[in-house]
Amino acid sequence: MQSLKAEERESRGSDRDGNAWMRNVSVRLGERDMVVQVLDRVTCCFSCGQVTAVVGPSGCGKTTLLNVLAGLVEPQEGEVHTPSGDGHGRRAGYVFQSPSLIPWLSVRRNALFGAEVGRGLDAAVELRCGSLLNRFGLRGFSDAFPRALSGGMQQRVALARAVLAEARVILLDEPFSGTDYLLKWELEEELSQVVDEEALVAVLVTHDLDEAARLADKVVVLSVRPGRVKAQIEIDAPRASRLQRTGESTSLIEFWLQRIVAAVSSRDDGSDLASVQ
Amino acid sequence: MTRPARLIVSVLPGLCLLLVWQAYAQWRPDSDFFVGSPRGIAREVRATLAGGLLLRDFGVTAVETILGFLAGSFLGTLVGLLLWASQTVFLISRPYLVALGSLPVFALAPVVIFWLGTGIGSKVLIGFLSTFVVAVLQAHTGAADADPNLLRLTRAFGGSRRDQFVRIVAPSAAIWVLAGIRLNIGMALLGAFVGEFLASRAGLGHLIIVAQGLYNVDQVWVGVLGIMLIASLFHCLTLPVERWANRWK
Repeated sequence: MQSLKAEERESRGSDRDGNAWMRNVSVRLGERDMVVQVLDRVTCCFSCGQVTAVVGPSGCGKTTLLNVLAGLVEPQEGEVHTPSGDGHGRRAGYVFQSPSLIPWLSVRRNALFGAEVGRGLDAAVELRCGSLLNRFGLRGFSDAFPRALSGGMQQRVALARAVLAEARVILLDEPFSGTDYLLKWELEEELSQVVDEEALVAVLVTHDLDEAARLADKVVVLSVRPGRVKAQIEIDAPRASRLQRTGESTSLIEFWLQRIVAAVSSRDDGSDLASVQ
Repeated sequence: MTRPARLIVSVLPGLCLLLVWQAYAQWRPDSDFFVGSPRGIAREVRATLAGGLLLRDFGVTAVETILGFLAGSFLGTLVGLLLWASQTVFLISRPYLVALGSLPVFALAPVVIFWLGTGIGSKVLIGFLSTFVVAVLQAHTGAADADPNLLRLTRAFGGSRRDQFVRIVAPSAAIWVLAGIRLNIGMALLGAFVGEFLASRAGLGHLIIVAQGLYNVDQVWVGVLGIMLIASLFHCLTLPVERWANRWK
């Protein structure tokens, strides 16, 4: 039933520009007397070739928003559209907060898992897997089991898995929170490149406003629960110029960071008074 | 300590025991009737080997154990997985599984022998009954234990419920079953032995029962040693399987 509905939606929505969007999406989770309204009439566009960061206080429904885009949660109201691209149905590359690797599969098989499940393996994706693992600093680990890897390395495998799924949408739930600074920068650059090269829709949920200022092309600020779109900030400085780690890029990031911080801490309509104080 | 040295040292206590035993038997020849002696055991082994009886009994018990184990593990895993698919069926069948699982095989064995006779079939079924429930519960636990994050992930990547089952749930269950393989093979051996003990025409349990009837203590010891040998043999065979199943841990 649900998948039918999703297909219907995909055929109705325009796939020409490859963007993802949601319109008036409301989500209530829980059962019977424990129902919690998590998202409240969220309307938002996630453009292809852009990184859209979603920020907001904890529990404001950021992860639920990703789950809606991934098709894991069906909203009670509203419309969702994600580009399906290659005709393999609705799917997304998802990176969870925890690496969530499959413990009994090798690193290589883990990295290929998204591709295998989504559209099947072929020589090209297997070739790409090898080079991506090398790029992510996992050379020599492809036959190891996840247990042998550090948390940061596992998260890189998870990122590789999402990229190799070759879906049009990549969803990232605080993917870099467990990695050290140097690596974080590298991974951010890698992600930025992949998004550009393949015109992906990238949605990044993060607590780290600095990261949003560095990596995002657009920042969506959600209010406290139930999550509503409080502000949308279009960052009109190219991502590459902010990721350079020069004095110039630092001041650019600083400039945008201030605007994001202002938007996050502004009071909107009374319902989130608590968060402002 | 090096490996050969450790082997030599671990043989020593057993050797001492045999020597003391034999010395006691020499010193008090009348005790031979009750406790037997290593020399008497060796004589019995030679005699039963020559007649081909020992090998036959050994083989029968081993085959019964393996068949019971394979049938129980395979079907049990299958049922455990199917129970994962429907929570309702699981809840309905759980009291029966628990009842069957907590039942000593001894209680069921007479009925099984009544149904299937005194041949290999009844022993395999008893072995099956002793391993089946363990396998069902292991498989079901393993399936229920499947990481919900991995299930969500599979779906996000475009996988179907079938993908979830085949790629996440089934391996997770199989790993639990394989990890419990040693316990289960012991259960199958116990089942086969119990069946033979109650009514049989061959097997090490049969050998022991016959020897007991003849007051041939040495031959009873031969049967006991045979059982120990089978248990050790299966232990050695399951170790690599278990290691393989747990290699990612």
